[in-house]
Amino acid sequence: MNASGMESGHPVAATGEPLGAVEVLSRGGHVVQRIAWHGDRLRIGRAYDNDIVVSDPYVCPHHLELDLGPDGPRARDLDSVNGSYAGRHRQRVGELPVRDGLVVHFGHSQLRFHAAGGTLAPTLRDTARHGLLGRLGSIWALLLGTVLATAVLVLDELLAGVDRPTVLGMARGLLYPVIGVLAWAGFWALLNRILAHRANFPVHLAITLFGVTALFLVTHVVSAACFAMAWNGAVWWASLVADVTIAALVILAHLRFAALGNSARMTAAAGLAAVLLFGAPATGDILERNAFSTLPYLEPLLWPPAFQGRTGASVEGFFERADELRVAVDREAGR
Amino acid sequence: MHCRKWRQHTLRWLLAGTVLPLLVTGAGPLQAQVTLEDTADLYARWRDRTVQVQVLDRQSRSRSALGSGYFAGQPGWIVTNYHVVADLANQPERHEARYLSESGREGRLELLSVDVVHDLAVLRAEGMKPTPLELAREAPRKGARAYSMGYPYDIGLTIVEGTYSGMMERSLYDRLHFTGSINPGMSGGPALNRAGEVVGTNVATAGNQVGFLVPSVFVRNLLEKTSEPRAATRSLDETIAGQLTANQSALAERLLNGPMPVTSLDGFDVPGALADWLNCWGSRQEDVPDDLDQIYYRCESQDDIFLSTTLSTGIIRYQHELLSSDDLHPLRFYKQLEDRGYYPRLTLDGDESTVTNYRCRSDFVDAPETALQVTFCVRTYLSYPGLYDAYLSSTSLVENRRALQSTLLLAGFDWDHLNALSRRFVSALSWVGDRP
Repeated sequence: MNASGMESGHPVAATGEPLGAVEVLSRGGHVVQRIAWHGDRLRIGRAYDNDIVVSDPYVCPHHLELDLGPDGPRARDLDSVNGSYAGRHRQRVGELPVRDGLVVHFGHSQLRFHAAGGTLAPTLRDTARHGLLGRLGSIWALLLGTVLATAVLVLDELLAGVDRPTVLGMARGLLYPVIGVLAWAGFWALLNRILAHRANFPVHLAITLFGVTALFLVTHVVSAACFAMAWNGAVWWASLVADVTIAALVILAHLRFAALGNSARMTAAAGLAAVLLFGAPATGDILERNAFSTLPYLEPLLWPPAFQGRTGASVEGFFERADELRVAVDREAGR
Repeated sequence: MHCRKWRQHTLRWLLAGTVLPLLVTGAGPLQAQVTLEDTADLYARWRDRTVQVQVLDRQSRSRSALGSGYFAGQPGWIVTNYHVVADLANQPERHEARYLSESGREGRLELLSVDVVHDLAVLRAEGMKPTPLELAREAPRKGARAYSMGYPYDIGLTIVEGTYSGMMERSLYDRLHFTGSINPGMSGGPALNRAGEVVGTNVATAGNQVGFLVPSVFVRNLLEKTSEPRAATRSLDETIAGQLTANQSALAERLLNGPMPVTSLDGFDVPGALADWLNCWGSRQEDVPDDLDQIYYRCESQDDIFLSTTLSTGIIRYQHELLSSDDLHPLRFYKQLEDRGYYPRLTLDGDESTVTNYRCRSDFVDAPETALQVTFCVRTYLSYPGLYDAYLSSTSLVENRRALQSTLLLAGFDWDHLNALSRRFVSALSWVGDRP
C-alpha cells in the first residue's frame, strides 16, 4: 500500500486520506465541480440533497452514487432514466469498480475520478518564465533592446541618406519606425490582456525591439554575404527567408507570453503569420518580376570594395558565360 | 526637335507628295535639262505624281497612319517611307494601305519591298500608273533650290520651296539637309530639283526650317531589288532581319576595328566618342545630393532605325557617371550607389508583342585595370530571330569614396557582335589613379 491508499489501481480507505478527486464535467468538457473523496457514500444528481449537485436537465434527481464496497470503491447507477455509461464503447452500466482515470457519462455530463496516487504528467517548464525569454521582462532587457534597436534604426537612417545627421533630422526619420514599434508591441499587449488578463507590455516591447534589431542585422548580413559572393540573383530569396524566420521567432515569443495553446500549435501559428506578413508583398514582387517590362529587372547589391569575397571573372570568362542568357531569351521567344 | 522624337510624335502625319501631270498627256518622264521658272508651274507639273498614303485599320476603317508617296521606278510603283507603312508591314492582317491623289483618284496599295535601315518602302498602286518621276543621279550642289512636296497635316497637297544644305553632318546614315518647312504628314513625299528629278525623300524634320531627306541613291538601290509580285522566298520579317543584321554587323565591325578613344573621368579612363556619328556630351550633375559629386559623360547614336510605333533599333548609347564624396562613410557611399541602381540609367522601347523580357546575370569582373561588378542583361526580338538588345551596367570597386558607374545599351545586334562590343566596352574601363 502506498501513502495514498492505492493498491493495484484500486483505491482503499485510509484514515484521513482522500481516495482521490471526483470531478464533474459539463457538456463542453469544463470541470464544474471537483471534490476530494474519502470513501464515504457520495450521491450525485440534480436534487439539492445530493453531495454533488449537477445542473443538467438530463440527469435524474438522484442519478448515481459512489461508495466503498467490500471489493473496493464502486460506482452505481440509481435506476436513472437516461442511464450511466462507461468504457471505450460507452456501455450502459449498473455498477462498476472505481479506478484511477474512470470516466462515467451520465445525462450530458461526465464524472471523472482521479486516484490520489495516480500518475501525473510531468510539470511543463514555462519557457516564458525561464531562460533568455524569461529575462525579457526585466528592465535591463528592455533597456538593452531599446539601445540596440535605436542604434540599428539610426544606422538605417544614416545609410538611407547622404545628409549630415542632425538631431532634428534623425528624430524625424525615427518617428515612423518608433510609432511602428510601439503599435506592434501594443497590439500584442492588448492580445495578452484579452487572453491572459495581463498586458505584459514591457515584455512585448522588449521582444519587438530585439526583433527589429535582428531583422536589421540579418537583412544586412544576408545582403553583404550575397554581395561578397556576387549572388545578386539570390539576395531577394535569401532576404525573404531571413525575414520570415525572424518574424516567426518574434511572433512565437509574443504568443508564448500571451499564453496561447501548446507549443507546437504556437510554432505553426507563428510560422503561418510570418509567411502571411511577408508573403503578400513577396507575391506582388514575384508577379512584378515575371511581368513583361521594357526595363531589365536589376537587383543592385553594392558594398564597399573590402566586402568583395572572391576574385572576379576575367572579361572573356564573364561574356562566355553570358551565352546562357542568349539561350534563355531564345527559349522565351519560342526558338 | 530631335529627328527620332519627331518621328515618334508625328507618325500619323506624314507627307503626301504629288507628281506633276505632264503638260502633254502621254509624254515621257521629265527631262533633266528642262528648266522651270515658277513654283506654281512646278506644282502643276508634278501634282499627280505625289499621292497621300493612308494606312487603315481593316476593322474600324480608321486611319492608323498618313503620309505621302511618289511614283518612281516601274509604272504604278510608289516610293514612301517605311515608317509610313510600318503598321501594314508588321500587321498585314489588321491593316491595309490606300492612296489618294490630288485629283481625287484613290485605290489600294500593295507592299512590295522595304529598306528599314534607310526608312524606305515600295508599294504598287492599283489602278493608277502615271509616268514615274526620274531619280537624280548626282547629289545637288549645296545651296541649290529644291522643292519638297507632300500632304502636311492632311490638309492637302503642298509644295515647299527650300534649299539643299548638303549632307547632314555627324550622321550614321546619309541624309540630305533640306532648309525648308517639312511638316508632319509630308514623310515619304519627294524632294525635287528644278528639273523635276527626285533628289531625296522627305523623312524627318528638326523644326525651324531644318528638314532631312533620304538621298535618291538608296531609293534607286531599293527599286532595283524590288520585284513584282513580292518574292515569296523570304517573309518580310526575314527580309527586315537580314537588313538589320547586315547593317548592324557592318556597324559593329567598324566600331570593333576602329580605335578606342578614351576620356578621363577623375581617375578613370572610359570609352569616349567611339565614332563621329555618336553625339557625346558631359557635365557635372547638379541634382545629386549635396554630399555626392557627379561627373557625367554620355554618348548616343542619333539614327535609330524605326521598326514600329513601339520599337526602334540600331541604337548605341552609353554613359559614365563618376560619383565621389569627400567625407561620406564608405558604407553610406555605396548604399547610395546601390539605391541609384534600381532604375536603369538608359532605356529602350518595345512591348510584349515585339521583344522578350530581359534576362540578367551579375558577377565580379577583373577588367585589365580595375575591379568591377558587372550586370549584363539581354533580350531578343520576337519577329527577328538572331537579333538581340543588351543592357550592361558596371560599378567599379576600387575606391571607398569614388566609383565609376557605366552603362551600355545596344539594340539590334547579332549575338557575336553584341558580345564583342560589350566585351570591348568593359575592357576599356580602367582605373588609372590620381595623376599628379
